[in-house]
Amino acid sequence: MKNISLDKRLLFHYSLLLFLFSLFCHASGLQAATVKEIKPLSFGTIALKDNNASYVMRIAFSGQVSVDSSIVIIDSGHPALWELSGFPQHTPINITFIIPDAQTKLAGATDPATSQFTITEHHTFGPIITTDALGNALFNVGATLTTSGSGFYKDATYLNHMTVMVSY
Amino acid sequence: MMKNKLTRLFAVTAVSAAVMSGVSVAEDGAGTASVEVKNSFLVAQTTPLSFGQIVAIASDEALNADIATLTVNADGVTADVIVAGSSKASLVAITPGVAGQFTVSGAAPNTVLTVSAIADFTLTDPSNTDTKVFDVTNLTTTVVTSGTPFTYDTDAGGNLVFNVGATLETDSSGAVASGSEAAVPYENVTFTGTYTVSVNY
Repeated sequence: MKNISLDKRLLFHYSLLLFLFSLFCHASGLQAATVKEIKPLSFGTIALKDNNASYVMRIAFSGQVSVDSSIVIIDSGHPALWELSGFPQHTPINITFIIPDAQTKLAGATDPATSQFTITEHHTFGPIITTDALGNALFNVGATLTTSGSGFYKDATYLNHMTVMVSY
Repeated sequence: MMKNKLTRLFAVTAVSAAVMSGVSVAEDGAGTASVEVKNSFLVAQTTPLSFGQIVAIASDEALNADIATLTVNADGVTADVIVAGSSKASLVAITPGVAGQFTVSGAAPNTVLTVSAIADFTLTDPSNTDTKVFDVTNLTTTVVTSGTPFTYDTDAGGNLVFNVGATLETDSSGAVASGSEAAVPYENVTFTGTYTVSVNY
């Protein structure tokens, strides 16, 4: 009778410890964390007066656009918007961009008859982002678009992929 | 015995928690970047250039033939008939001409476009009833609607309307020697020709 009472007490303590551990995991951000693209980076719709030199268009993380005069903006672009969720509270998160392709891909498939763009200098307002009290964070990503400087561009949508890697 | 096992379990749990709290965690997210190139836009003729109905007489002289001219201004006002040289060639307007009109659409908004110089061309009789021609020269353009007056800026919707004017000249490719030339009337037919307008950013 005495042993049974002791086991119940130990079981209660163990359950309590598991509960506290669960809380600890939550507070430590050990639950599933997600890195999600809310709005893709877009340089908008443009026309090129010529491609006799490499022309540059920059979209800052703040949304500010600067462009060489040979690039005509038809529809404005915007920086990407990314969301971090499920991370530890008030924790600095390191942001790293991984760009698999040096050049863009035309509408999902490279077309040898057209020039390609290069998208570089992916950036946010800083390499380290701090999560809020819920373990979430939002950040913008800007980048630089550069023309090839030779050949011509067909009317099409040009795509490039990027991977945002976060760590803490 | 049971107590000892649970105690060990607590210890393992605590160690696990301690280790996990020091782990550097990395997560990845996949995204895209894109740009759409739209270099092309539409340039459509909405009103053909017309010199109206005229009475036309040419000189058949081989060299230095008299030439009569009639100008339709790009602003849509038909000019007076101007006769250069002496009296063998003449043009008389019966009905007024109309400037050509083109509409650009689908271009970048509020952007200056360049309308290239338009090359001279000729009007001929498609039925070959009359082998004489008219020369069309001095083609000019004038902006009609624009985001900015007097420049070829597109409006906020990427549209631009401009007119084309030109001068019609009577045929100067006759074969008769000077001194024997005569006034040769054109046949009552419609003379047509084509020209190309080039618009760029």
